[in-house]
Amino acid sequence: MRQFLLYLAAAVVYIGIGIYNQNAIYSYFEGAAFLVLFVVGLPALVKRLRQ
Amino acid sequence: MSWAAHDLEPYVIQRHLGKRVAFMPLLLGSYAPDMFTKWFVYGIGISGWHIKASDPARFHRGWPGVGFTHSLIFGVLLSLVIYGIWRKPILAYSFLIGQFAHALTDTGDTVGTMLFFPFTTHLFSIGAWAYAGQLGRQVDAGAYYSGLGFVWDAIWLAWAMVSWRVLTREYFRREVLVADPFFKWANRTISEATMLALYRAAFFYGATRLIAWSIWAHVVHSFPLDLRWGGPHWVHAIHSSDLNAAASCPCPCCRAAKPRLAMYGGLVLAVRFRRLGDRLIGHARADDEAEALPRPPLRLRPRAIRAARGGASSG
Ligand SMILES: [Zn+2]
Repeated sequence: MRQFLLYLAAAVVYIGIGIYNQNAIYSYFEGAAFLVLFVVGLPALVKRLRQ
Repeated sequence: MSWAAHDLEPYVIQRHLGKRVAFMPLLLGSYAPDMFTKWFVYGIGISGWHIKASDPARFHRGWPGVGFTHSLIFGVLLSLVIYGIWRKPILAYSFLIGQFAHALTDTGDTVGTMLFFPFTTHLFSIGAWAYAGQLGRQVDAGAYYSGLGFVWDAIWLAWAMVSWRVLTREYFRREVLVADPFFKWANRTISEATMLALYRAAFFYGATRLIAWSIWAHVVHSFPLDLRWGGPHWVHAIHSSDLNAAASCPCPCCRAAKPRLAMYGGLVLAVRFRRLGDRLIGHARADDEAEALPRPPLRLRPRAIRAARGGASSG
């Protein structure tokens, strides 16, 4: 469930960015990079900051 | 052209083929036809210079141009190259399935694809939505998400969402990781969470860009929705007939298109009439026989009676 919500949040943010700047949704590669950063990088960063 | 359909089709294919397909080469195949050429169709600006194809639609889908990337033989050749390098059949045919899906999907717009290049440069098109790539990415997106392209993408999103189980961690471990040499290889260096994100990324990208472009087109801007066949009709669409050049094209498809169509049409009509005649005669005979014989408990249709007789006499 937590995972799903994280992906959902990523989707909402990415849609927002995409509407604002269409170059951010240019190809799969931008999408994949954003998703990995959001659902893997961000939680890892938060975890490190908390320690 | 199609937009999110190319991102979402691989998940539906994955759902149906399971372990028999490798996801990453399938996805790569689905992206391959446009991967290196789309930017030149839309044009890009580099330090004051604007670089763009002079005839974007012909460059993208036709000949001379890179339209061969949307032909079936291009998929076959690249698959052979992939097989030659890695010697893994699953990599090759998964790529092939993805590339075929792309080439066939793009026949949905008004330009279509040269499916049988190099045997013919004829563009095969269903013409359901307008091709407007020549007008740049934004107008193309606005047009696509104002016509039947929007419906087409929505169907694929719905279908992929119905197949949501393929996105779960359990499914990934059970069906994707074991079958896909790419993920097997990646498994040695990157975490499962990263692999999962990469696996789900095309779905994520397809769904979000569909929504983002639709909001951009209809909320931020007000591109008129026009769901008629070949629409939206407010945009200047390029058609396969513009590029097929029926009068001068030397390919057998174009040269003989009209006489051949007439011939096929005539043939179909002739067969239809014969069948109708046969059926009428059959009915008359069956009625005669039915009167002569005691009534059978189950009344068979004339064709079924003939089939049964034929089967009995030959067997
Ligand atoms: Zn394409």
